[in-house]
Amino acid sequence: MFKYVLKRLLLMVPVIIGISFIIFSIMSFMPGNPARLLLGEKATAEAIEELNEKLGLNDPFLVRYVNYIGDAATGNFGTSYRTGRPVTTEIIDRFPTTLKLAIFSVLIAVLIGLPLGIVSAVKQYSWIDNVNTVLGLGFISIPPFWLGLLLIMFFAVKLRILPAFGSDTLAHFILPALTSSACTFATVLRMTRSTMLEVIRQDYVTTAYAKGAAKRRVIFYHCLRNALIPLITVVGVNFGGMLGGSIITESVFGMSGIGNLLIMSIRSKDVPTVMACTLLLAILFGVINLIVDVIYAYVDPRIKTQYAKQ
Amino acid sequence: MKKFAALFLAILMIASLAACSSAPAAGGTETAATEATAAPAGTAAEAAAPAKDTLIIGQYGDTPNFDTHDNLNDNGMRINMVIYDPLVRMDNTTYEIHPCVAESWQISADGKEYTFKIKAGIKFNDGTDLTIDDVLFSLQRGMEMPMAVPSFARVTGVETAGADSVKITLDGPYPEFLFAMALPTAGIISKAAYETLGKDKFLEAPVTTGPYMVKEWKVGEKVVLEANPYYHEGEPAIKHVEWVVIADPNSAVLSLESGDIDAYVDVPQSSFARIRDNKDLALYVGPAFGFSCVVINTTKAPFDNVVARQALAHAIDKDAILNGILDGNGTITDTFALPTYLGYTDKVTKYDYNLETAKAMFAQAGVTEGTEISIIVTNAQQSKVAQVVQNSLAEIGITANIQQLERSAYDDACLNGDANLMVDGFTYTAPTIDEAIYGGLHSSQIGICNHSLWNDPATDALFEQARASTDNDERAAIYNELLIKLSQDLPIIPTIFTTKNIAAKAGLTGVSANPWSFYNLFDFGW
Repeated sequence: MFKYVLKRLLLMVPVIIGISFIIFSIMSFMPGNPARLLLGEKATAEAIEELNEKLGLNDPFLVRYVNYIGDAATGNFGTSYRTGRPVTTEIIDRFPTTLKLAIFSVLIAVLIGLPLGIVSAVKQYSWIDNVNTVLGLGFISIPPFWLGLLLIMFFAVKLRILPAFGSDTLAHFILPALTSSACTFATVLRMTRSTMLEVIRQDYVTTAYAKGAAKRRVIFYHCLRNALIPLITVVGVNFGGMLGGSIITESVFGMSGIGNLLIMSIRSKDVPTVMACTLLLAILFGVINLIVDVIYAYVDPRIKTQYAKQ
Repeated sequence: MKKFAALFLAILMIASLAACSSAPAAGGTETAATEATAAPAGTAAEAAAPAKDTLIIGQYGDTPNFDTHDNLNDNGMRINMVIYDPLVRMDNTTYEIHPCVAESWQISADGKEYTFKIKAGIKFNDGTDLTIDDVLFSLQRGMEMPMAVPSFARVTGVETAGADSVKITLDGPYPEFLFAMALPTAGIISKAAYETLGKDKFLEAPVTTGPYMVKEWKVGEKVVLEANPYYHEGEPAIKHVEWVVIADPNSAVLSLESGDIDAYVDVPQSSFARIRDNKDLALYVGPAFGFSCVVINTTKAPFDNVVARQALAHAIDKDAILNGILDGNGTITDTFALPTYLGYTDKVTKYDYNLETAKAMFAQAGVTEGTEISIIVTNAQQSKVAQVVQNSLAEIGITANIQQLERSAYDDACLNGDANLMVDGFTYTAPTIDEAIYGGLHSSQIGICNHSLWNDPATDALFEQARASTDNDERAAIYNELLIKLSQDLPIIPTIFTTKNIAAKAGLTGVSANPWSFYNLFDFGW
C-alpha cells in the first residue's frame, strides 16, 4: 500500500511539469502584453518596455520557463504582475475561503443527496422517488448564478435572515454553499439511486434477506457499502473541482477565493499567479484522486487485497 | 410522474416570481417593516440608530495595493482617493478645482510653471507634521513611477520655492494640469515614515494626510478604513468605512436592497429602474469624462477614403445605441466635447441616420455591395454596438464581421491596424478637448493610443497651437476649428457621451456622481 502511494505521488511530478509547460506556453503565446494591460492604453512605448524589462518579459520563452520552474521548485512562485505581492501570499489569503466553501458544499451535497438517493432506490417508482428524480433534474439544470441570485432575493432581501455577501461568519457561507452544492447534490442523488438499484438486485442481497437479516442492515451494510465506490469517485472529483474555486458563486456572493483570483489573473495576463493557481489545482486534484483510491481500499476489501498483491 | 414534474415546476415558478417581485413592488412599507424586526447582516439596527457613522460601500473589484503612485486600477484609485490627499481636489459637478494640501497656486505667464503654496498646520495620520520636504519627496517619487503617468506625464521638474511652496515645471503649457494633480495618482506621503518603514511596510498602512487610513485589508474581499483623527479639513462625518468587493453587479443591487451595503459604485444600467422605484435607495447619475465612439482605421481600404467614412457616419444609428443598449443613459453627440468644454461648437458637420444617403455615398466612394469589413471590440456592450452597425451595413449590402478580443490582444490589433473599425470608448482626466482626443488623434500617439492611425499635419498643428496658447478665447477658436475639421475628416465617429453613477441608501448625504467615479468619502454623511 505504501509503495503504491509513493509510486502515485512520484507519477504526479511529470504530470505537473507537463501541465506547467502547457499553461506557461498558453499564457506566453496568447496575444497581448501584460505591461500594456497594467499601464493602460495611454502608456508610451518606453514605459511598456521599462515594465517588460522589470517583469523579465524580454527574455526568450524557454529561459523564462526554466527560470520559473527552478524558482517554483524552491517554493518561490514569483510576484504577481497585477498586485506586486508574492503569489504565495495571494493564494494563502484566499485559499481558506475556497476550502471552507468546498467542504460545506460537499457536506451539504452528501448529507442530503445520499439519504435521498437511498430512499429513492429502496422505494423505486414511489412518489418520493419521483419527487427526488425531478429535484435531481432541477438542481443539475439550474444555472448557479441564477440560483445564487434567487437565494439572495429570498433569504437576504425578502426574509432578511441571511447576509447577501461576504465570508466573515459561518452564516455568510450558507447561501454560497447551497448554490455551489446544487450540482453535486443532484449528481450524488442520481448516482446513489442508480448504483443502489444495481446492488439491490444482486444475489447476495437476496441471500442476506433469505438468511433473515434486518432490512436496515441489508441496505446500509450489504448494499450501501458496495454502492459507495462510484459515489466516492464523484464526490472526490467534485471536491477537487470546487477547490479550484467556484468563479460564479464567488462573484455572486462577493467572496474572495481562488476562482476570482484565477479569473482576474487570466484577464490581466498575470502569468505567475495563473501558473501558481493552476499548479495548486493540479496537485490538489492528484492528491484527492490518490486519497479516493486509498479510500476504495478501506471501503472494499477486494481492492485492498489487490494492493497487497502488488 | 408527470403530475409530480408539473407540481415541482409550478412550485419553482411561484417561488421565483415571489422572489423576483419582492423589492420594487414591496417598496417602502414592507421593507421598513422587515428592517425593524430582523437584523442578520448587521444592518437593520441602523434604522433605530440615530447617529450612524459607518459606511459599507461596494465596488466590482479589489485594489492591487495602496500605492498612490503605482496603482492605475480603478478600484484601487477609488480607495487611494480617500487615503491620500492630493495637492488639490475637483468638485464633482462644477469641476472647479479646490485647495487641499495646497492652499493656493500660481501659474506662470507661459503656463509651464505651477507654484503651489502648502497649507500650514497639516498633520499626517500618525500625528507628525507635514513639511515641504514631504511634498517634494512625494512629487519626485510620482515623476519616477511609470503608473503615476496620468498625473506626472508632462512634469519635467519639481523644486521648492521658498519655505512653504513647491514649483512644478512642465514640458509645455498644460491647462489641464490642476486636474492631473487632483487625481489619486498624485497623493502626498510622509517621507520620514516611508524611509523608516521601507516601501512594503509603509504600504500596508500608508502614512498620509488623507481623510481616512487603512485599518485592515482582507484581500479580494474588503478594505476597512478609519477616519484620520488629525485630518486638516476637520473630522470626517463617517468614521468607519468598508470598501467591499462584489463582482456581480446584480447581486450588488440585491445587497443594496437587503441593506447589506450602503452604496455601490457604477451599478449596471439594467438596474436603474429597480433602484429608482425603491424609495429607500437613491441613484446619482452624472456625465463621465468619456465618450463612446467608432474608431476608423484611416489607413485601410475602404475607409482610407473620407467619403466612405462620412457614408459610415450616416449608417450609425446612435438613437438605437443609446436607447437599445444603454437604456437612455448618456447623451448623443456629433462631436468630441460637451457644451461645458472650452472650445465647444455646434457648427460641426452632423450626419443623420439615413441608409439611403449612406448607400449613395458608399457607391460614390467606390464601395460596392458585397464588400466585407471587419469590426473589433473588447467587451459585450461594444459587441452590441457593433451589431447595430452591422445590421445597418447589411441593409446596404456591406458585410461586417465582428470579432471580440481580449483587451491586450485588442490593443495590439488596433496598433497594427488589423481591423477596419473599432467600437471603443475614450476616458480622460479633465473636461477639455485636448484631454478628450489628443491621445486618440495626434500623430505622435500612433503606436500608443491613436487607433485610427490618423496622421494629419493640420490636425497636429491645431492641437499644438491650442496647447501653446494661454489665452482662453484664442484656444476656444482653435478648438472650434479643430472640431469642425474633425467632423468632416471623421477619423473617429463620436456616438454617446457616457455617464457614471453611484447608488446609495436614501439617507446618505453629500453624494453626487463623480466623472472619474472616484469618490471623496469625506463629503459623505448620514
